[in-house]
Amino acid sequence: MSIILSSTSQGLLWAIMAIGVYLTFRILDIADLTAEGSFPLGAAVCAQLLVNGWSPLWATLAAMLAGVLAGWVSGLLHTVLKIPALLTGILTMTALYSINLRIMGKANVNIQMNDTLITWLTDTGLSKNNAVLVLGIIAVTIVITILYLFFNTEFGLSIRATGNNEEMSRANGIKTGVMRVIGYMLSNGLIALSGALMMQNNGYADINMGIGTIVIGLASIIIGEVIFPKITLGKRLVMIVIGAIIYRLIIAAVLELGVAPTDLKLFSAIILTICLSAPLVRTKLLAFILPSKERKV
Amino acid sequence: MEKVLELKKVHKTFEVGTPNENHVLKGIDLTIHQGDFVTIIGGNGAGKSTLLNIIAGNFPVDEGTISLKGQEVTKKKMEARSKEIGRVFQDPRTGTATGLTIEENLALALRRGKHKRLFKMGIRKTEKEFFKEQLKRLELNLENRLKSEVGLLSGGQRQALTLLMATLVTPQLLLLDEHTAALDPKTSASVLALTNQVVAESQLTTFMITHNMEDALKYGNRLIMLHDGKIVVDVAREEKADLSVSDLLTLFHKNSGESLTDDSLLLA
Repeated sequence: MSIILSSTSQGLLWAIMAIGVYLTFRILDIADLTAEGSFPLGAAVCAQLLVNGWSPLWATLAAMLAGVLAGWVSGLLHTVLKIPALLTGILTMTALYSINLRIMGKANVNIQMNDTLITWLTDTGLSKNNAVLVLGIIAVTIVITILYLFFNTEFGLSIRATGNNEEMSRANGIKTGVMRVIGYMLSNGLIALSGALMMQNNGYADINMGIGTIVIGLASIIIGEVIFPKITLGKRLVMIVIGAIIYRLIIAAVLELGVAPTDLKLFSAIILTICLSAPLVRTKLLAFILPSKERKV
Repeated sequence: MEKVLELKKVHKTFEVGTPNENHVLKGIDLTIHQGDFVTIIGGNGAGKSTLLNIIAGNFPVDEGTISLKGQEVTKKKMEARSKEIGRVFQDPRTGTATGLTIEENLALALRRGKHKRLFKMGIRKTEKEFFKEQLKRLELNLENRLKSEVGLLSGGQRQALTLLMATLVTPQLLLLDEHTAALDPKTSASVLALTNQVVAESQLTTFMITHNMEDALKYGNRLIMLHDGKIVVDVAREEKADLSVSDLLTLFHKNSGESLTDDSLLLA
């Protein structure tokens, strides 16, 4: 029971990152690796500000803003300098490693003695696990509500059209470059927010905490897509949250089975590979089970 | 009569300085007036699509100027020209955002060339009724499928929808790039008939590329034939109305000094 509870609460915090990845990966149709740098960036900024006595709320929002800036840089590299998206992400992520070290001043910043959003909640009498759960639910609800409204405005619709069909968008007067940059900014802002929340949950920021971020984000998205392949945007965002929770449950189960924590990244990659190949496997299985006449493609 | 589009000495060369250098447009002078429905024919590589693309602003010209409604737009990008120009593309996948719904596509088309605002809903309630009315004109039963993803529609339905989107806000100039070439003959004929109806209803100034001589003669009130980057035939009004395919071939021969078979054009 406690594993389910902790996987759910962790999944909620990771889900915000996964939603951020979804904005670039699916809505803008860009594979952006900036996540690997903006996630620890959020953690680093938030940790350093907490240590310097900032209020947890402001520190968290500032961390998000730092992510927005990282996204802005990636966005400009991609749209103005026309660097391919994959390389753009690698460039920003590499640069952020040094920047994150600069921000933290060392490889690891401990905030266990500081107030955080989570201690605010435990001060009301909640247990640590329940506090994380409440924080996760509040944060996810706010993020999904705002994004849902945003993507139904004229502006949000234009961003979705840009990712879906650039030529059509330009023919309808949409400034696709600007839309991409804004998508990058939103995406990395959310990823940094997730990093800041996760850091408060862990009690410390670590320079290496970004490794594997993109794999976790993609796995959460794809698990949601494997369960429900075709749904509308609002439901999709909710499915990513469920996907992130399922992913945490799978990881918890793998650890229960006795896999060493050091092998976890290997298993993360294997899980993502299985998820990515699921649509193909499903088609092949159907073809194998059903006689050709009844087959639905 | 008011000039809608004016091209002066337009040149365009692709892959300059490479062995593949290709001088596609060789000094095009062209003026299109209000209400002209121009059909453009020409063989493969004659420059039809390039001509259309430089008007739309897909890529810049090397030399010459382009004016829309008396304003020079030579250096303006496609997005900036979109307010005046409606487009339907050859590939049915190009003109619509297939991952968005029919109403979302129409909502974007309704805001073509306008500033996209953050605090305005993408689709307003009053607009839905308008979209339904407009979709009814297509007679494809799409008015009951506002929330369907465009990716679920057939090629013909998408081209009809794109045509509606391109004309939802009346454009100064409608550009049609072989928009029925990818459709089967029956669908192609019905989309062309619809095009003709829409153009006539709103008296749209239209520029239609076609690979089919019969269609080029049947539709529109002015016909232009491109050959090797130059305009070799330009006939309008009564002169065009009386033209037959064989007249056209003769005219082409006289003006270009080359002979051309009906087949080579039709197959291009």
